[in-house]
Amino acid sequence: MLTKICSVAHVGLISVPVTIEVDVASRGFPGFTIVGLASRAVDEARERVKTAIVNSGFDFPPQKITVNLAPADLPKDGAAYDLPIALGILVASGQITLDEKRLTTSLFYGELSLSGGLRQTKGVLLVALFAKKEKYKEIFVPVESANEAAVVSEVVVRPLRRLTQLIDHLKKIKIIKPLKFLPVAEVIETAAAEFDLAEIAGQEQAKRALLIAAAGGHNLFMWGPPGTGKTMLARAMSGILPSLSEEEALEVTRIYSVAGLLKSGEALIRRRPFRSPHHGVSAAGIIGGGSNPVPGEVSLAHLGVLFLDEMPEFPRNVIESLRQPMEDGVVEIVRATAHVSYPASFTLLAAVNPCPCGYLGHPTRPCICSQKQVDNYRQKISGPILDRIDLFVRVGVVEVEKLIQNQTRVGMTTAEARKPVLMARSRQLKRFATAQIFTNAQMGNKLVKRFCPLDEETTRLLRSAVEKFNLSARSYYRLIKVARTIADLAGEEIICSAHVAEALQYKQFG
Amino acid sequence: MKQENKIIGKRGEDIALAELLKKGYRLLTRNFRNKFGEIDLVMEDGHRRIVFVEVKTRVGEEFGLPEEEVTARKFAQVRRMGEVFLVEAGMWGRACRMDVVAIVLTRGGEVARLTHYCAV
Repeated sequence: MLTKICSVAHVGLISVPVTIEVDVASRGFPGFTIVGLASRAVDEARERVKTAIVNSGFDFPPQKITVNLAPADLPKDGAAYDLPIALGILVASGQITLDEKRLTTSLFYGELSLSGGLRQTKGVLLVALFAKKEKYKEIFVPVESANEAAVVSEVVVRPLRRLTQLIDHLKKIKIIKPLKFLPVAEVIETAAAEFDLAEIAGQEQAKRALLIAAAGGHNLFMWGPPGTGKTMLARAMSGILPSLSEEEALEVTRIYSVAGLLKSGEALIRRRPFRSPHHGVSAAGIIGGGSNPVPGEVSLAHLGVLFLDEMPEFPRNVIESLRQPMEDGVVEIVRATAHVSYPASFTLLAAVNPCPCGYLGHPTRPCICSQKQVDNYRQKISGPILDRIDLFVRVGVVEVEKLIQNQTRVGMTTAEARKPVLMARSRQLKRFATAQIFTNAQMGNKLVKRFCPLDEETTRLLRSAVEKFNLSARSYYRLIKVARTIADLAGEEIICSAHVAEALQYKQFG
Repeated sequence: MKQENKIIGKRGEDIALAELLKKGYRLLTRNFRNKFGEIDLVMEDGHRRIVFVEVKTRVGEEFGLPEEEVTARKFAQVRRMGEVFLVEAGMWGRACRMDVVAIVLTRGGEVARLTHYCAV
């Protein structure tokens, strides 16, 4: 008998319907074959499914079983087809009878363990979103991953602990209670940073730059001698970032769901991502890769912060590979068998020493590097990358006075810094309501022209700045975007020359 | 134990042979072997097609089905042996196929089940 079960495959973040056709033939030599471009993990489903069926107290039919995963030309990976294959075998061998309609309106998705239990499976959120879009009534998924699906409305999510539960449910012996819908807004929480801004002594200008970066999503480059607080500033950044909006939370969670990085039982990524990969990272690790490409650090930092501490220590090809995502907000990963694009709209935060020994330009300590060493060090970060940075800020040596002062008097706290950031962000959300972006930094040139009108005096200032600093066309637009954010922080709709002048302050490195 | 298995195997082959002769097959040779391995039965069916038969016998089904014993390796072996047979017998180019006869015996030695799979 032939049975068809519906499931889903993921190509990057795109979900594709997969029909699992199971035939249990009454003639022919007993065997179990899976066809349809199955990867190793899918092919091994044979052993898992066989053992799980037997250990759940059913019979594994000693007949010729053929499983086809259609469409046949789409490569399929992962263990998520275990559940639909097992169900298909039980239906096709007549161990349960179901009406056809029931099967075509439900999606089945999940990995089986040998005991017949279901294991946490990645990509469940995407299955739920797909079910909503394609109007499937129910989805059956492993209980440990089911919470991901609970944030999607209009879909009945039935969490499974064991294969036997599913059969009892379908036979109407014991109905599985559907998960309660969990509105996204109830899950989101405000991130707590490791450090409060007030703990960092001095560095007013750097803190201001951090504020602008957080408010507009601009890339920030901090340079200065060791021990002045660059890393602490970066770590304090997650505290001043606004919470994820509903839409953003879903977008980030989709990526983490596909990457399999959601913890068991976790419903949603609640906090804005802050990724700080070590400089030993490979290009595939940062961009994403693999024969069935998985998201890299840039995508895991989507709508959040990618912090590169000691940026020149990263391999050159890794730094250069950031060019495309920094400009477009997406990465396209092309492999022999797959072409996948993942969103990667992140704020780059880089911390850099001025030279290998770290003390070039230090007021008291001498630098022991040769000119050649300094040049080599600086060349690690190429022009095209520097061109994509909006804000440069020098994190200088803290004066003794301020260090001591800080013991008693507290500067701007994280909570204080967060207020203007939130205000600026809400202005941006309102502005870009129809544009499908969230921050000033994400504006394309067309949007810059539309949302950043400049008066004559400001234009004149910009022109002389472009001439004086030899700004590229890209730098020019980035400068205006920073000025837009500074105006938003000040609560002003018109960008005036003071805003551009402040933006210009953050244009120098060296 | 080994000796016992051999006796069971021999008995299974006898049963399979009787069954196939009853179906109108003609025996060409039995236990055709060389250093690559062995074919239990080589027969010819009513359409003059050469049939290489692998017989698997088990006592009881508690330790799995006899069918499960026929692995991809066994298939390959019979195939290779079949080619040798065809060449040696001067039958190269004749239509041929491979069959499996699975037999389950009871403790008393009675046939509990016999399944003949054609052209596996």
